[in-house]
Amino acid sequence: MFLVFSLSSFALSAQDSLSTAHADSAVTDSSNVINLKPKIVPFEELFSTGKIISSFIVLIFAFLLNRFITFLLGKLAENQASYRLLIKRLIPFLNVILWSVALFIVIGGIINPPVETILTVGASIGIAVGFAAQDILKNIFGGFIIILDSPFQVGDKIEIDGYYGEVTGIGLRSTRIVTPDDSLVTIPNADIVNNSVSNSNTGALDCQVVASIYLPADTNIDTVKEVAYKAAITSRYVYLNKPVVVITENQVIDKNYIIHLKVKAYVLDIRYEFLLKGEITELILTELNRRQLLPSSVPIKQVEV
Amino acid sequence: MLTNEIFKEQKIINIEIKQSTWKIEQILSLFGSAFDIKDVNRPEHILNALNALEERIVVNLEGLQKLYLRNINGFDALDALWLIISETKGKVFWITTCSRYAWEFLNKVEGVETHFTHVFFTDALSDGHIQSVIMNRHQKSVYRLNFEADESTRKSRNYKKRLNDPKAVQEYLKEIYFERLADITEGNTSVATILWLRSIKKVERRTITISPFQPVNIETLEILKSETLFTLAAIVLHDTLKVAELCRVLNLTLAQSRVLLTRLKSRGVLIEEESGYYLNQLVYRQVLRLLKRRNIIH
Repeated sequence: MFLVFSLSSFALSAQDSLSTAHADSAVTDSSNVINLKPKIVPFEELFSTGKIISSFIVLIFAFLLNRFITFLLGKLAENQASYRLLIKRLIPFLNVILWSVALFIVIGGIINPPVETILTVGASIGIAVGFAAQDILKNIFGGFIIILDSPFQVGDKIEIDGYYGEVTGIGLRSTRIVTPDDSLVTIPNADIVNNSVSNSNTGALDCQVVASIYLPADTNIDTVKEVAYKAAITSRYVYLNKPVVVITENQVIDKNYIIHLKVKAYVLDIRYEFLLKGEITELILTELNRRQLLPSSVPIKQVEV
Repeated sequence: MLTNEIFKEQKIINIEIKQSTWKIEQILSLFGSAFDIKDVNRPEHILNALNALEERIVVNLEGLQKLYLRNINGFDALDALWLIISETKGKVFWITTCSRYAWEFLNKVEGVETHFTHVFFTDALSDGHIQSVIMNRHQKSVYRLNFEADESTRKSRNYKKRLNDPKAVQEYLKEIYFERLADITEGNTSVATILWLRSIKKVERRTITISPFQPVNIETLEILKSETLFTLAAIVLHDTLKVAELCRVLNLTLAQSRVLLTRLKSRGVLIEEESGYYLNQLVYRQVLRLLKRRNIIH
């Protein structure tokens, strides 16, 4: 809103200076007439058919070029796993730059209105848009803040507003994430900027995965921990440059003591996150069943009230 | 060199592990026959026999990568080996060899380096070393070398500048050849030697003609599916795998394992022998680069 009001005042002051110039020219001697007539460009000349067609051509070309570059970079990103996230991060920047250049060419190069016209039109549009599109503007400014502040990047796995998924695109108005069940969720940027965002991998290919196993309290903890550790390190999806940790916790559920085994391992590619979790769980349960360490039901001891 | 210069007075026992030996009974049987110990049922039998020796011995164990299987129950033989090494170090000087990526894997999961005082890597020689290894072997023959240029080299300015001087041309072509060889083999002498032999176009009148080689492009072999890549990674980590062993490593059925291995063999990526399937040396480095790009080998 501040921007709109400053444009309006600028337009008004420009008109004031013109009317002052008119008054001055009326007072001066006719032999020293200073031509202070404002440039009034007829509407038909400003928005001639040729200019409209040229503007459409430029915008369509910009749209097609944008899609083509996005497609090319997407293909390149899929073939280069180690640079995939970096390449995908470039796409929103290139979108903004391309559309900015296209609008500059249309307004500055093709239509080329006088400065006064731009200011006047801008002021009018600003006031109308400012009132009508407050939420959209909030989202657009939110988009700029996300791009500049980078709480997350394209390719990161984030959790926001109860949704967890991979960021597939950061637009000016909204950010899109794909959830594990392949749903595309569109989140307005204003919501992202105003809420907490949890980022699982922060630009890296790997991220931590936690697999949970619940066991009866009288289970041999050393044996189970050894089985759990080996299940994690032998999984094909595990990233071994970061540590594998097995933690045991004691819980009471429905008055029964339970051992909660947490296996924390890193996955070599975030796209295999749930496959790693599933494989670790399967391997542990299969081995515990083979050793007959896993009863059919969990409760063994009850807590005395 | 070890026998002639360093261990002149010690007895050296060489143990070469030729096939997968990941079960404890298998390693006990192997050590029992190597050390001539009868009725070996537990590692303690080996320990007691070795500690009872009057003189110190040297044991050279080759092929550590065959002593495990990447499976929950695949580390029993290795665990027995660590126990034997730690309990007999007063009487036995242990030397072992292992493939690089198996070593790196075992180091991350088992801390294998802590069992040894010195570790040397011999598979990453410099470009100059590769050239000198090959040329030293060639110089023992009396043949001259004639390097050929490929199409792109013939069009290059550097080549055309030297056309008046045949010696300079040969020096230039030799330099390009070994640059490309070093780039593809990444310091591996065995792969470099195989590629050198495959580059020999003809031998006549005491001259060997070396043609430029084209590395095999495995990207076109459609091995970008994750199942295939994990199969290749399993073989890199173990050197050689049989069908049943791949089942255990990747938790697949026999049929699935067989299909994966047979498909890769038909494309020339794997070679099958009695001991199992292993990577074709000609595509070894390309496969490694592909697996590293996908973060599967890290």
